[in-house]
Amino acid sequence: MASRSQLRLIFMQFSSITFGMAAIYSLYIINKSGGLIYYKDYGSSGRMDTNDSLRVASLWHSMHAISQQLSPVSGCTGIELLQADTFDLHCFQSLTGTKFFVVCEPGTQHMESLLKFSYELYTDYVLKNPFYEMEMPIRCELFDINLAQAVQKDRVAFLGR
Amino acid sequence: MIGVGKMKQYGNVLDKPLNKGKQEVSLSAFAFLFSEMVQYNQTQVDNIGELERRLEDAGYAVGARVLELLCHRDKGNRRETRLLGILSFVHSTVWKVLFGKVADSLEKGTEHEDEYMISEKELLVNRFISIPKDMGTFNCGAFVAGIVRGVLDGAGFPAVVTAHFVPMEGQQRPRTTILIKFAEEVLLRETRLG
Amino acid sequence: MAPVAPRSGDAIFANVERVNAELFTLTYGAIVRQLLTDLEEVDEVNKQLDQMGYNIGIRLIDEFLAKSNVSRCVDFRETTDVIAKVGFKMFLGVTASVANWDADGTCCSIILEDNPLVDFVELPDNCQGLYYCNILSGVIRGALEMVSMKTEITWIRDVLRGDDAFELQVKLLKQVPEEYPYKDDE
Repeated sequence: MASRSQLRLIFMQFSSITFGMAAIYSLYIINKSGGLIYYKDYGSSGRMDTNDSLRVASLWHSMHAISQQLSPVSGCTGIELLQADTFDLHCFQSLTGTKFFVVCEPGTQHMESLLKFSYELYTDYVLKNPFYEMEMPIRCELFDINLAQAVQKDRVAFLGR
Repeated sequence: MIGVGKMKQYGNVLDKPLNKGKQEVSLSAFAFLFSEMVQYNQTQVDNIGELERRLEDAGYAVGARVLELLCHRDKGNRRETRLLGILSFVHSTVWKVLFGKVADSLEKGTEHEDEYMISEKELLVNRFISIPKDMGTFNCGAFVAGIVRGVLDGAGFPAVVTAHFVPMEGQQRPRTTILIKFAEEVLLRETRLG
Repeated sequence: MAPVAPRSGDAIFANVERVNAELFTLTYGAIVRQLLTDLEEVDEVNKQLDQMGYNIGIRLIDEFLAKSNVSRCVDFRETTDVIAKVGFKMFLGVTASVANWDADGTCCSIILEDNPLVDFVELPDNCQGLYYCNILSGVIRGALEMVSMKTEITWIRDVLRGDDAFELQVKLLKQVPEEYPYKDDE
């Protein structure tokens, strides 16, 4: 587990992104053992380096697991939304244990459906690609293209409110 | 016999009536099967050329059967005997049955008399596939090239058929062109037939 | 608040993109031919088909979960029911039924009356030991393993071997409880 100061450091980095125009800052996919297999930055500033994104992924994986144990609700499947002053973090975990999470401007709408849609894109453009090896980092051009379009659409919907 | 199901029994597969070809499965089922076929074939080869050849061979087996099936069912046991006829049969009839649409275009090669091209903006088999950078110009359309070769060969039009990505202006993704190069005998016969 | 699982896959199948079953059938046939050429022994082909099915199953399960809106099944009985009524329909456009439950609810049969894999197929004399549809058992085994169920799947009836239907026996070996790996500090 990362220390408290590490946690703060990373969250401060998130906050620096809020000065950008975009509502969605970044999207992560972690495999069932907690390894980061996809990370994409959609913010215009405050990009995170590889080490930090890996740290956020493993941190979130652990926190998610702990939240299931600590939850007073029986059958809890883990944190779905974390709200902070400067960002929201929405998380979706599939029944197979893959986690999709998005970091966005506080109050950004429709993030559950964006995550659900990302999961569908993952089943199409990652899992049906013969050159993708299970549990490994995702390098599939078609997934990037389609996901970027989905995020864009969401951004448009957000701006159009 | 215990609990006879709805499935009708035929002593011989040849007694079974040929269905109309209207049955469907999900594109996903096909895509997963195709993906697994590519993965299996990757374990059987040392280089990309061999992978292309193996996918083409698999496609050839499909093409040979498609020809028989369609000639019997859709063409009253007749088949095309002229070059343009067989090309249009591939581009229209075969494509429609296998991929649900007529191919985007059929063109004659500009540089060589014996070359024809069938192009598709997005080949069905490539719908979900991203080729890794280290595989260069490899195209899973080799399977479709094999289907085309199987149809042509079975109909008496031997040819070398290959699949290529062709970048398109203003498009993010390249299209796939199936290049058909007919054997010399085919062109000689065409000339004789006039 | 659990969403209601659809009773059948008809609506899903109607909404997904579909292809002519003949492309699927002939492609599968081409795969079986490749395996027979590469591996020669029918037993080896059976094993490889099962392995390929498993490889598909561990991927296909996510598509099933993402696009079927099926929620977590309460038990093995519900799981097999969903596979038969929703899974087979959603992917292959055919419906299967579940029968022959054992007393403790850990073993049953999935029965297929229609199977697009075997159109045009007849087993030649030298392939009588071939489980032509063995890929299906691998798919189910792989898919269930991804949702923590270890199963063993056996063919009971096979139309290509002269039976009147396809029957797959699905036996639950163990249900692995969900565990989260807690790694030490790195």
